[in-house]
Amino acid sequence: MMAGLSAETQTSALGTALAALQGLLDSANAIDEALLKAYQQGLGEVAMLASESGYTGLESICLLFQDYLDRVSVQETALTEALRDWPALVLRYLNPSEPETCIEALLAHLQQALWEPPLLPEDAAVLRELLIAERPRPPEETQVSQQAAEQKDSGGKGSAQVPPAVAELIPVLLEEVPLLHEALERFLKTWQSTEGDPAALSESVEDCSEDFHRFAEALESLGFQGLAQVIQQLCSNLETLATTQAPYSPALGKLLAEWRELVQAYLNDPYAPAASQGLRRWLEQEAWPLPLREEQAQALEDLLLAPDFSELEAQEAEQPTRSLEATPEAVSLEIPEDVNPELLKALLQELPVPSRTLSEAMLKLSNGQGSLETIRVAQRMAHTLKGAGNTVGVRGIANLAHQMEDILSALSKAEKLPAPPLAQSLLNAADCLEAMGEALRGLGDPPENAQAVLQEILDWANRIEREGLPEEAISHTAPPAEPEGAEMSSPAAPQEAAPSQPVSVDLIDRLLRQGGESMIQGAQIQELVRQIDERMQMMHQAFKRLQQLGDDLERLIEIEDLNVHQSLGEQFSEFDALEMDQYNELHTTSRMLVEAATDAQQIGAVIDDQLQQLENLLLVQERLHRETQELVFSARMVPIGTIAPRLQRSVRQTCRMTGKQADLQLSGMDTLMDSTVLNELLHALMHILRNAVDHGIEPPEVRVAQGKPPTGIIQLDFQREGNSIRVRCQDDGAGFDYAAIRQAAERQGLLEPGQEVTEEMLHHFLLQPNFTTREKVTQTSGRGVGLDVVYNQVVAQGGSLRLKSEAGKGTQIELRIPVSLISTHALLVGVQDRVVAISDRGIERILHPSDGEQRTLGGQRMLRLGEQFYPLKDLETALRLPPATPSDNKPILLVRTRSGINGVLVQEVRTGTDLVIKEFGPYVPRVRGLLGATILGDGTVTPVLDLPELIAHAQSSPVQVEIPSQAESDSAASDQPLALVVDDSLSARRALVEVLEDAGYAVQVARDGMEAVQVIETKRPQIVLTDLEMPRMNGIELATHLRAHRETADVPMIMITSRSTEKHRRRALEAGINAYLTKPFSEDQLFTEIERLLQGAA
Amino acid sequence: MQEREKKPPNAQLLPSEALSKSRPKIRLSLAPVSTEQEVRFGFRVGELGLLVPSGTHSELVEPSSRIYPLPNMPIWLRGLINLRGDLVPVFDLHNLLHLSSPARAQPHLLVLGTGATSLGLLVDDLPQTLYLGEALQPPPPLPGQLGEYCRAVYGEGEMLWIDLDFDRFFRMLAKTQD
Repeated sequence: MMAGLSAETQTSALGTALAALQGLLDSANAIDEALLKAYQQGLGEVAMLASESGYTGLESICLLFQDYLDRVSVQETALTEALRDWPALVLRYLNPSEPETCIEALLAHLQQALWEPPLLPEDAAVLRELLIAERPRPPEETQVSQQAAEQKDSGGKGSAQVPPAVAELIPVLLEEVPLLHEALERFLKTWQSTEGDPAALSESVEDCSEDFHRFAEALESLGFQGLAQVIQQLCSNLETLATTQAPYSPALGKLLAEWRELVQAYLNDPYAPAASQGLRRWLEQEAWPLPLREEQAQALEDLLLAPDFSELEAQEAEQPTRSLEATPEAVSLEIPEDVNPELLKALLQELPVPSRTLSEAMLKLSNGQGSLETIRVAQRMAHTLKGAGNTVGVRGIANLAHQMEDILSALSKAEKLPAPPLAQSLLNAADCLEAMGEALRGLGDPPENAQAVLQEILDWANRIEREGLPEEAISHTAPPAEPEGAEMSSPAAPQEAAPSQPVSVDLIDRLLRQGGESMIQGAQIQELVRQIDERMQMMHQAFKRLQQLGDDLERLIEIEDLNVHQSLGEQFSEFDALEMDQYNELHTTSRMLVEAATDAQQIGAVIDDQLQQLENLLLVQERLHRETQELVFSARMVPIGTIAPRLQRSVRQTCRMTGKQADLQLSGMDTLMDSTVLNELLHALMHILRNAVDHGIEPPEVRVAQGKPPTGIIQLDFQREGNSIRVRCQDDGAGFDYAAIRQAAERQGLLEPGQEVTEEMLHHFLLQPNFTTREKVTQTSGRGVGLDVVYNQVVAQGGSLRLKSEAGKGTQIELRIPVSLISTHALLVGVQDRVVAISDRGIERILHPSDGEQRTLGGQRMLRLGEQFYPLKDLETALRLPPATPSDNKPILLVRTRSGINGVLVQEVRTGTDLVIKEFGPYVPRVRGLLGATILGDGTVTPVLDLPELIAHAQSSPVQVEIPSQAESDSAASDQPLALVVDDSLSARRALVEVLEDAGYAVQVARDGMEAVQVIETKRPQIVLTDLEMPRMNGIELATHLRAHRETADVPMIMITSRSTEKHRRRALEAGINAYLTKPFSEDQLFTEIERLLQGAA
Repeated sequence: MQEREKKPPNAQLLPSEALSKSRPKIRLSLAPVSTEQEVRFGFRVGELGLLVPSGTHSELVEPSSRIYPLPNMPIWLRGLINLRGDLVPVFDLHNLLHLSSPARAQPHLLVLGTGATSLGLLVDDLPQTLYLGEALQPPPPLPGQLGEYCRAVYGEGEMLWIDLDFDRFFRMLAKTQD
């Protein structure tokens, strides 16, 4: 009954109102219309208060009375009595100690003949019942009833309770109420005072209703839809006031003011019917500009009684329980479409550091060197990764990191270190996370074993949740709380200390290029200055001569003069010789000439000075350029150590896959190297390492049997040697199996059985494309993508590769890579009338024409140097120029090629120089042995040759002159088989593309069926690999389309999808798909199918 | 001064000279032209009329600037020129397309494009402004495989003007030599 407010408060409110009614009469002499009106209003308030307090019967009575007063005439004598009696009667009713008769009195009051018509008996009966039922109980009873009511309330709360989350927030809402009320009161004041000022009223309404709207929104978000609607209704009314420019009405003002208590009552107990009813009645009042209609009212009351907290509860609900099974979706690296690109970029930049730290931590733990601190650090890193993954929406990273975090947290709480099985799983997971991060950055494939790893981790996590940390998973040695030895600080820490700025490699490249251009310009200017200088010297000479001539002229004139003088001497003896001189024009002119010459010389001297200054300035500028270049250059230099973790990971992975054990020892990690070169070198290195584990290191049992430790050792060393970096990879494995190489060479027809062969030649075979000693293709190596790829990569970077091996002891691979690509040292060599630059790559020695002995053996020219014979060739031949004039005076370059050392005769060696090689644009055909061109200091363009490649590829075929049609040229350009990959997932596409390209296929991609159709129209692939579910046109539709057209009807199609049901498989096969693979699939499977289908098609 | 005129054998390209002596660049007018008549620039190579691709920068280069040949290159790639620091390949279309060329001792050198994607062509006449109408439909057959790389063919006066996709054409050409 008494919802929220205490009985006293309510009664006192009513009491006040009733007292006010009485007061009206007291202060009035006679009853007039105005008084009646006021009385009615007072009745209305009483009625409202009564209803708020739950006295519906009383409310009805008051309202009835109000009605009757409408129809009564003020002349009625009994009116005064009636008016006066009424408040007292009500008060008596409200007083619990009064007997029941007061109810009758109340009713009788309304049944007086005074009213037209008076209260009908039936109505009276209804009212009576209500009045009796609602009558306030006497104190003890009230208490009991209050207790009962409270119990009922609490019972009520038990059955329909506000959830704790919401209950916590209700006081906050209640705090809002007084503030809102102040706003309302401000509005009321304004309303009162702004008669005839529409703008002010509107503004005031706006301010007020804005606050209320916000409140309503807050209510709604918490689940109080009903109350929110109440507030909205209030606002609508307020707004109507503004639009209708309603004049101030005290009644409405009062009505508005009632909101506070009603709302407070509701919030204190939303499930109490009285509160909802109160609100409803309040809104139904006629005094409102927009009173609530019947139907709306009922709906509103229902809504008030049943607030819906489900959404909030859902949000607050427990974390979804851990799944038991790792699904492909759970490890997906898909980036959601709507991700903010800046956010994604930031994430990708952030990923490496925590993943690396995590891996290092896991490595420590699995080596038994970890401490509790290690676990804590790891936990933090996992948490960071989880957050990053969740922010962007990459489920793979988020899920794996989450599970790792849970496990680490359990370990941390129990203060235990993981034992090998658990530690190994965690290490696998950390590796997997790193690989995922790299895949996202485009540096590698998404890890194939991600799902398996997640499953492993899930199993652990579930187990730990169920049974706690299993005994065998934790190490029973007491873990050191403090780390042993140096604390493993995040490797990023020292780097973060100095402020840094990520700069794209492209920008640095451009800077370098600009710098190079600038230097060339500088050199040209210098040359020009030098020439001007020469001219100046010549000019000086000219001036000198001029001066000389001038002097001669003077002398001649003087002599003439004297002669003239002598002959005329007697006549003009009184004239002074000097005076004669002055007026002799010839003499004057010759004087002027000499002066002019002297002036010119002086000017010349000044110009000389200025030229000197210019030269000095240019020297300074050159130095500046050089320094700038070096600085920009060094921006690209990174320590080799940055790739160490990936190398380690590669070895670990290969060991896992081959079941061997190997330890990678790295040295020279501080050596600096150009980052682009390093990244390209990385692929080569990973390959070498994979080979070392796969082919080199023997299985543990075999090693033990040979007296070697079961874990193989691979040493990778980096050293700076002049302008190159020397990389040495030494393993203690089985060394090359020369017999197997020989066999394979014979098998491939590269060698005749029984033919004599040196180790070096066998090495040479290893570097041939598609050479493999394996008869079967496996996942790691042996697919023929072997050392030849490495060799080509190395050569493309201007480096060299050397092999050394000892059976049973191990293999050594030595790479030499120039430190940077930008400036190369080269020889400028004269060929016929031109200058040609030869990169020094591969040039071992420059021989004097008289060194060694030149011979011809069966048409092949040779150079004999000591005990060695080297094939000899003219540079002109390699360049397909007209044959050189034979001469004994030609220096010889000794060049190391893939197959050994060759000698090359050159016309003359002019000088050695550093130069910047400019690459050719897209319109210049790529020719083996031609690296590019360079602009020399004087502006000449010279090609830059790579001798080893030039010699190795000296072809005799004529140059093609016809323009081929596109189709011809496409097929001529590549005898690689062409595959088409169709998949709407970027990561899936990329993964497939890399796998296929590694295996030697040319690959095109399409995002969906429709794009695939377009691509196929331009060029028909040999095989199509498609996903099933794609937008616009899915895999099956694509197959149907292709099969329907003659040209594409027999292109083999493989469908790769995660749908594994028989139904899907059948539909696919019916549509014309040749092979159906389900994800995850193994590469072996894939290639088996591809080969089968291609052979069938061929 | 005499020295100015006569160039010593290994003449360097003085920057100031290169800048001042190259002909003014031919700018395509970007003013809206009525749809009937498009303004293009065309140049002749033998009996072929070719159009400068729409929106492409082009310039005439001093005929005497030295073309430096490259070794092991097809005969129709005459060599490279140094155009303000960029290496621009120069192609001899007469040779490439087996055109009959009016004996021209010194063809003009027209460079299309800028930077890394610029290419030079030996052309017979100075380029001229053309007001072209509708493209010929269907396009007439063209020598060699030009048709595949041709975007449209226009008739103007007595000449056929071919809008060739130089970029694709030369890229394809470069690839086939591998």
